[in-house]
Amino acid sequence: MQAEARFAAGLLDPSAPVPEQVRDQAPRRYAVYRNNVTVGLVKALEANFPAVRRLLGEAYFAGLARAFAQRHPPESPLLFHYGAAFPAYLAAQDDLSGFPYLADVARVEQGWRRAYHAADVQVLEAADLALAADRLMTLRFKPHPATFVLASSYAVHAILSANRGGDGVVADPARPQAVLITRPAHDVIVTALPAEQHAFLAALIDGAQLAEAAERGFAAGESFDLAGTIRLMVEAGVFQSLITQDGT
Amino acid sequence: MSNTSTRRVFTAAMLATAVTAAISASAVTSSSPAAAAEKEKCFGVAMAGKNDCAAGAGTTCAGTSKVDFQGNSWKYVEKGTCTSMMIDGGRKGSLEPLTRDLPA
Amino acid sequence: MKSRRIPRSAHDLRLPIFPTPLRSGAGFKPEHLGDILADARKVGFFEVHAENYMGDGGAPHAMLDRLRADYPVFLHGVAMSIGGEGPLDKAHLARFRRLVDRYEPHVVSEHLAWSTHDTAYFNDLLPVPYTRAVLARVVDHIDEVQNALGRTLLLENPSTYVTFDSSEMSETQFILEVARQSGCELLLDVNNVFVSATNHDYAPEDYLADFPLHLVREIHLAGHATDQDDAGHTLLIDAHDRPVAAEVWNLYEKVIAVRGPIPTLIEWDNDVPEWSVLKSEADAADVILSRHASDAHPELRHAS
Repeated sequence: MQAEARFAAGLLDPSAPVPEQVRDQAPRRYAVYRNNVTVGLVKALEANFPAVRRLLGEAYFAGLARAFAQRHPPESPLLFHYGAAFPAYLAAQDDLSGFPYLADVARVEQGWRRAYHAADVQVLEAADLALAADRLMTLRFKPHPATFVLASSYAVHAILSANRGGDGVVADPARPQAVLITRPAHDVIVTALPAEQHAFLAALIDGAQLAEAAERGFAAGESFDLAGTIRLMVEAGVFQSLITQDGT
Repeated sequence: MSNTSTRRVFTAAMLATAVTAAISASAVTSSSPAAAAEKEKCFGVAMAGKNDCAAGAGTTCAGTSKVDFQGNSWKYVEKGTCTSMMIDGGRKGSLEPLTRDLPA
Repeated sequence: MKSRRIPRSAHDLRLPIFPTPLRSGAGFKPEHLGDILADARKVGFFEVHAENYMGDGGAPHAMLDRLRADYPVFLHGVAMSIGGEGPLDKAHLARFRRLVDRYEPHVVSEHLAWSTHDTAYFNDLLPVPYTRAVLARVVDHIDEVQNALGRTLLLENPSTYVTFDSSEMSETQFILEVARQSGCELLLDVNNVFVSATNHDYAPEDYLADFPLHLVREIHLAGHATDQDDAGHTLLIDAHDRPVAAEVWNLYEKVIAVRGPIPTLIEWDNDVPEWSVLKSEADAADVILSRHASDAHPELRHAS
C-alpha cells in the first residue's frame, strides 16, 4: 500500500510535501492532481447544497467546502450522496454560530437529494385505505423510500424556497417550521408542515398506529385537520403501502 | 398547545369519517396522466441549472482548468456577513441580534 | 379510482439491439434530453458515466431508459480503481453489474488509473507506474471485472501530469501487455495521447505508432486547457471544457485513416454548452468518419 498512500497523502492537503516518487518533477505537476480533487469536491458540495451555497456566497462556501473535504473525503464514488457529515460540520463552525439555521437547511438539501435518487416504488393509494376500512384504528404504514421529514426551530421551508430559485428574502427565519419531502413520481415535492401535521406524520413514519398518530396530531394543536392531513399524505406519497398484520 | 383536559380519545367511527372525507377528496383531485405530466417539471426537459430540480453532484473523468487558490481566506470573510439572506426589516441573515431584541 | 403510480419505465421492455455505430456520439448530459429528443438528426450513440446511474431510481434512470429506447448507450466507469493497490470494491462491482443488466450497454469501458485508497475516494484519475507488479494487478482486476460483468472491458489510456522513475516499460507496452494477458480491448482517447505527449515531451505520432490500434473499439475526443509548470514547461490539462483542439483532430484523422471508422465520442464535462454546440463537434467527427467509410474493416463492425 505504500506508494499509493504516499501519493494520496497530499491530494487534499496543500501543506503536504510533494510525494517522494514524483518529487524530482515540477511541483505544479503533482498539484494538478491535488487541484482536480479539491475543485471536484468543492463543486460536488456546491451541487449537493445549492441553497447553503447561495446563503454563504461563493467564496465563503468554497473555502468551507475545501476545509470540509480535507477532513471528510468521500467514501463512495456516488458523489450525489457526498456530504452526509456536512450539516454537522456547519453546525460546529464558530464563525457561523449566528446562522443556526444553516445546518437544518443542509439536512433538508440532503433529504432532497436522497429523495431524488430513491428507488422507484409505487405509493399508497386512497383505494388501499378504503379496503382497510374495518381496521382503521390499528393501521400502520410503510414509508416510501423517498420520504423525509424534519422539524426545525427555524423556518427551513421558507429559507430553502427563498434560496432555491426564490428572491432570498425570508420574513421571519426564527420561527419553528417542519418540512416534508416526498417523491411520488420523478419530481421531488417539498411541503411545509404545520406542527400538528408533522406530529401526525412523524408518528406514522415511526410506525405508530393510525389512532395513536391522530392523537399526537391533536395533542400538538387543537386545529389539527385530520382528514386534510390524510389526504395530503396520500397525494404527496408519504407511504408506499399498509403494513399488514404479519408485519410486512 | 393542548392540555390534557381537551385530549381526544378516538373511536373507529371518528377515524372512519376522516378517512372517508380524505379519500373522497383524493378521488376528486386524483391526477390524470396529463396532470401528472404537467407536475413533472423537473423530469425531462428543462431541469438544468434549476436549483429546485438539482440532481446533485456527478462524477467526472476530466481534470479542471479552474485553479483553486487553496488558501484560508474564507476564514476572514467578515463575521456576520456570512449569509446573503435578507430578513424583513433589513437585517442580514444572522440571528444573533434577535436574541438581543428579546426583553431581559 | 385512477392510480398514481410511477410511470412504467422502459425498464421492463425488451431493449432494441443496435448495430455498432460507426459514427460519432456524445456524452449524455441530462439538461440536453429535451433538445436531443426534439433533434431530427440523431447522433450515433450516447455515453454515460456509470457512477451517475448508481442511485436506486428516480429521474436519472427514467431519462436513461428514455434514451436507451432510441440510441445505443455506452457505459463508461470512472471509479473502479483498476490500477489501485487494494482489492476492487465488490459492492461497486455489483452496482456496475446491475447497470449492465438493466441497460445492456453496447460497450463497457474503464480507465487505466486508480481513485480509491483505503476508504477514501479521490474523484480523479490517478496515475500508476508502468511496472511488472502493477501490470499483474491491473490484469487481475480487469479479469475480475470482466468475469463479474460477463463482458469484455475496454481500457482507456490516461492523461498524465507526472511520470514515475520506477516505470519499467512504456505506456503503450504496458497497455498492449494488459490487453494480451487479460483479453480486454481498448478505448483510445486521442486527446489524452496529445495531452500526455505534450506534458512528457514525446511525439504523439510515435505513441500512436506503438499503440495496438487493432484492439481499439472506441475513440474519445475532448478539449484540453493549457497551463504551465513551475519550470515554464507547457502543461496541458484534460479539462473537457471546450472544443476539440485542431492538433487532436489531425491526430484523430490519422488514426481513422489507419484503423477505419469506429465509434467516436465527444466528451464535454465542464462548462457544458448547448446541445447544438456539442452536436456540432460530433458532426465534425462524422465528417472524418465518412471520409474513411470505405476503409472499414469488416471484422471490426462487431464490437464485443
